[in-house]
Amino acid sequence: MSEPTLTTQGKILKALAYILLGVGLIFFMIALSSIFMGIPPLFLDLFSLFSIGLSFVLIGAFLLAAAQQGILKPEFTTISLIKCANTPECKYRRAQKFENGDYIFKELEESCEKCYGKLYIAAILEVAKKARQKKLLEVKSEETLKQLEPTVEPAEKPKAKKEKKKEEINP
Amino acid sequence: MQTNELNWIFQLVFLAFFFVIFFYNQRMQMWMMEKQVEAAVRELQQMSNEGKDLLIKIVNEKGKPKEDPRERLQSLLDFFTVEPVTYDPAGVIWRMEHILDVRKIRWDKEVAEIAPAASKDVAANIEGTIEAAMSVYYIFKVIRHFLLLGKKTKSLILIMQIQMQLPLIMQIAKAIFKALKAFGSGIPIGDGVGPFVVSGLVREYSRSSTPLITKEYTEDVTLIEQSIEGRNVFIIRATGPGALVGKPGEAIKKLIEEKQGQINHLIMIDAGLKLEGEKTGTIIEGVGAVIGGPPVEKYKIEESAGVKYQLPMDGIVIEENQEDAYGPLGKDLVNAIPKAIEKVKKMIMARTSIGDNVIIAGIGNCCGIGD
Repeated sequence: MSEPTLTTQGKILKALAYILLGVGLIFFMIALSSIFMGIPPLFLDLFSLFSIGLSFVLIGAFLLAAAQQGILKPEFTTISLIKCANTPECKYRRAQKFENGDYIFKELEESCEKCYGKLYIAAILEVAKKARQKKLLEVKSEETLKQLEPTVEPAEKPKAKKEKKKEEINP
Repeated sequence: MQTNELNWIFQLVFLAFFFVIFFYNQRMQMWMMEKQVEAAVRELQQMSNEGKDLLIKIVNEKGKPKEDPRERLQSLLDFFTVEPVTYDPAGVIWRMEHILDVRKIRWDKEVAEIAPAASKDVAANIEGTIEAAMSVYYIFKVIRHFLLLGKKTKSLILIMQIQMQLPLIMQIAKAIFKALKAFGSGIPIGDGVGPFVVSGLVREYSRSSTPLITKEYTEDVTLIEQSIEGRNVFIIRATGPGALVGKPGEAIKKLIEEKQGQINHLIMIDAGLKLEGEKTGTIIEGVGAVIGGPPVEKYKIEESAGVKYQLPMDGIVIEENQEDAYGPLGKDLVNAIPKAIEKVKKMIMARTSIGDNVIIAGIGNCCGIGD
């Protein structure tokens, strides 16, 4: 499975959390080794070493948990790619949001704006919402980009996460 | 506090910790694993519930049921099919085909009763949605079973086995859940690349010669006769745009028998699972009956085209992972379609002569892919 993508804030928090965890554990190790080996600590007293180590570890763990909230769940949208039946003579192409009842090779009632030929759905595909524009550009040729632009809607804002009710495992 | 006293306390804590770890480490390990499996079960239960809700919504919207479909849908989600006995393997294929036929008839009837207003294509999509919802529900039930059994018997091995397989199980469950949503809306899935390629091929040549289309050549299968580069090409695929796979093996067998074996070549196109590291949409070639699912259709093709008529069988596979196969078509797969069409054309030109009779079969689920 692929590694979940994090927001920039999430990445910073995660890095900070690892640093704090590391420093906290080092303080702990120094304190423990001084106890078990009977050597007095090089700096600070035992109590300070433990308390600093513990607080760093706790803050680090808290930040790590907070960073997990910044996991980006990719949102997808389905588009229908429409072409003119006179391909390759006519290069007309556009993309529109998938509607119920759409299927590949479905002939549309409207005609081609360029050559008045029949239009049909050449493909139905899922694209990531944020990268929608970019993906579409990859799918289509340079010539058709200008025609595409008016039909491409801006990506919708992700809906607020609904609070998921923790359900019982037993039915 | 004096350092000596502190030393004593830490020594005691360490000893206590040592004994706890010594005697209870497996319990603690098991507890951690249990928590992971519980989280997965909760996620699966959520997926299963969402799937059920979506299914009920689709049935109510598209099927206009006369009564509340919940009870019947629940009984379909618990539906089981007993595989034929294999201790005596002779004739197992035909026994399996019979069971699959009986199951299909039963499901068609159930869906027709639950969703009386649904057209054939919509009914096929509903059937696909029920199948996907059933699979997610089944995965949930099995994982929950092992979790509860492991807890009950305090068996580390049961919990550990499930926990170690969780990433793969969840991957499969999520892929099926994507299929559920796709079937519900009639969106083409990655498994449908075979029919997509053959219909694209027909479309390309339909301007030079009109194809002859025979719907329901065999049950849920369409036969398209088309002249391609001077060859008589018989294209076989499931009837779209409903979520059907049909019986392509039966259709190939019937066609070969009708032509009394006067077929020169058989080409099959299907989606195939890629290995990790391979790119989605890679097109590879090979020989043999390229068809997945229950072995009934593959057997028929091998028996008729292979053993009886010794036909050369070529295959083209478009590689994708499980998530792509169950989920909606992605950019990589859509971009692979023209390349696959070119490959089929090259194959026809290279391996057959003008005037030859060639069968091209596009294997896969035709959800959202018209003829």
